[in-house]
Amino acid sequence: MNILLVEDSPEVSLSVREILASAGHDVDDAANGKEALAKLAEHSYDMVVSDIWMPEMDGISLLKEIRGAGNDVPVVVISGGAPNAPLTYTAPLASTFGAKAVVYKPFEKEELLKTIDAVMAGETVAPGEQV
Amino acid sequence: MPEESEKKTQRVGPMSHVTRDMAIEMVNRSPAHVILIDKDNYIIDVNQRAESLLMQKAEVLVGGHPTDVFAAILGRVTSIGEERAERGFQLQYGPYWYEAQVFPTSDATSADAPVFRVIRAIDITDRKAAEFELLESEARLEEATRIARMGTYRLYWDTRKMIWSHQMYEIHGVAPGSIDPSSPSYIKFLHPDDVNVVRDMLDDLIVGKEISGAEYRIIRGEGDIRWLSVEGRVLFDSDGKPYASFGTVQDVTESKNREERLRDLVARNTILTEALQASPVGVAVLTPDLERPTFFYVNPELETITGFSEGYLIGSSVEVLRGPETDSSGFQDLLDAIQSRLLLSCELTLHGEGGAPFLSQIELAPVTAQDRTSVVGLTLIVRDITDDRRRTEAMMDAQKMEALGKLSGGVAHEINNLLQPIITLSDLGFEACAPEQDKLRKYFEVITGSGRKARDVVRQILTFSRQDAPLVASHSIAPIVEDAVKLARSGIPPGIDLQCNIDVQEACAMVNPTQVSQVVINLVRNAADAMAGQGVVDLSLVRLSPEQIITSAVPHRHNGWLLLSVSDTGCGIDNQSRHRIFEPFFTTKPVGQGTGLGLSVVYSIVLGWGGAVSLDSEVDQGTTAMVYIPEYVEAIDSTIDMESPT
Repeated sequence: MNILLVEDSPEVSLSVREILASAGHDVDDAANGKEALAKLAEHSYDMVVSDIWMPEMDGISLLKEIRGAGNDVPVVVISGGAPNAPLTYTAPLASTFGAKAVVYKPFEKEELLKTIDAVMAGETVAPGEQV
Repeated sequence: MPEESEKKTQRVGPMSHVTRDMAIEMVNRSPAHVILIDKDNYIIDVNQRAESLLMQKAEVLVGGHPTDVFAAILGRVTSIGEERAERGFQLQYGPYWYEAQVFPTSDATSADAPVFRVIRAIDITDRKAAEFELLESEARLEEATRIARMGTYRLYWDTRKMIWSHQMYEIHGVAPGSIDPSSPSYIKFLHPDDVNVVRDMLDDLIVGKEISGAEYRIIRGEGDIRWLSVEGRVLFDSDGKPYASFGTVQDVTESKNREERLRDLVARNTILTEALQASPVGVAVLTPDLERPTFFYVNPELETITGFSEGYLIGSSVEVLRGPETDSSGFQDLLDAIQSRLLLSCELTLHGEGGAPFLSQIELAPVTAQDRTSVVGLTLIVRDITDDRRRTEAMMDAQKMEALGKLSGGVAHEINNLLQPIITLSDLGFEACAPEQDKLRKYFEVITGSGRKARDVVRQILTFSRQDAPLVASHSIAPIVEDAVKLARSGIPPGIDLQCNIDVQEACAMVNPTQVSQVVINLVRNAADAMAGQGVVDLSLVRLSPEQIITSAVPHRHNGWLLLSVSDTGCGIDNQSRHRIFEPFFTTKPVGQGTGLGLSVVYSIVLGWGGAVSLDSEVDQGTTAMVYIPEYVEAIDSTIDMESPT
């Protein structure tokens, strides 16, 4: 699968990229929402895996832009919570703007991969649910 | 007519025969002392009273010169002259007073008989004494009326003529006789408000009414207002007909002013007393008795605060407010301040009726006498600040928890992002190792394991800060608690007996089952840890009765409360720790035995259900953790009564 990974932390980005690569996915990355939009304009991806709390453009704004442009690429949100927004709000917010699943950091390799499989199979995965 | 003149003649006729004897008899019986002397002052005759006065018989006296009183009378005659002597005069002889008369007489038998003189003296000592007494009492009355500022008046009804004693003029501040009190101009003395009073009074007097204690004001020169008090009586003439009024007028300004000051003082005292009685703080006045300061006055609020009646407190020592929870050195400071009459402001736990303790704010201040030299008492102001303090502490606790929640939420976000590469990359690193790289694989394994442990800690912090609160739903609470008890039982040492009393089979609550387990497990583990491996933990789940709600830490609520309590008989928690017990990372357990997150997680979970947590604990007696859970009743639960803030 061709996946766009949007994550501002280079260490997290590396970790997630390794997880995805270990499952045989092709990974392209962006450090924030703006970079991601630029890449989405040039290429087509099977899935977007995006952080929420990022500089320049956050994950929720990115979701709005993607859906606003009529793109229905599946989006899986990965979140460690935000300093000023309770984690509780992340899942409903992300779902409202069209995310298919939310996975909380730090997650296990299998947790992310199974969620991605489920989303690709057409499921919507609520946060905290066992996949 | 001729008969009549005959009779007259008959009556007069024999006079010549009886003259001498009868005259002598008459003179003898007279109350006067009488001596007859000739022109050369030789005694010719004396009457019996003169004999008794001179204590000698007539035979002895006749032919001699008058002595004693009679000599003094003759002596006086030369100084005042014969004519005055004939009219009579008074003479003091020794302690006796005499009314005396010396007049010439002649022998009635012959016209050219030689002229004699009669000395006549009457003892008037008693009358004189009465006169003196009258004079003296008049002088005394005069002095008394002057001192009493009292004047007299007389009002004649027919002419409306008013006569004043000279004191009356003095009372009006004018010279005696300088004004006419009958004149209409008298009105200028009167206070404008009292003109009618005086007019009515005069009208009453004129028609014979008596007046007693009527008062009016006059204005003397320079606006000096004086209060006068009037008495009036009717005077009758010798025929018993009333003709005038007589009475006294007294200047009562001083007593009137005193009366007014006294009335003001009484009114002021009444207001002050009422203010104290109505005061919303407890007020007492203590006697300054050095040995044993006692209550002299207590207001109703102090009765309310202490529960003691006024009757009990008054006369009792302040010691009655001391009890087992009273800080003894603080109370000693209070006693010292009372004895030294010092100002003091302090907080003390006192005990009221039945030993009920209350936290009080105390202000002590000495009350000095008006001359500022002596202390006549001490005021003790007592406020019951138990509830205030509890509210303040609860608010501060809540604020502290909220701040900690925000802080840990922020920190958790950072750590989550740091933990992601630690867990993922160490895990991948482990897989990337060749099978023979044992050491390296072990290292990665430890890193992954530590990362996961760190993740669990962070998740607990997030629970505390309510950042990942799972959805709650209506659940029958009893089976969930029963399941949780089973889980908890497996985690406690074998010496601990967990006894369970679940009495609300049908009750529902808006909870998350996993969280219920977390709460039960945490509380049971804490209880077990407090008892060093031996003892009984009591867990109960009951519905609170309305009476219990009043005394517990939760507000009234339409659908009621469920109370989950876990009690131990362990080491307990001291007062200081109790305020911090819900803080994350605060623990009373030995290092390494607890994360300090258990109770803070319980706290935040229960808060998330709309419930409350409180702890009752006494050192070495044990602890009871109480979890109040709002009971859920379908379709009615939206009507929650929040009558008072938590």
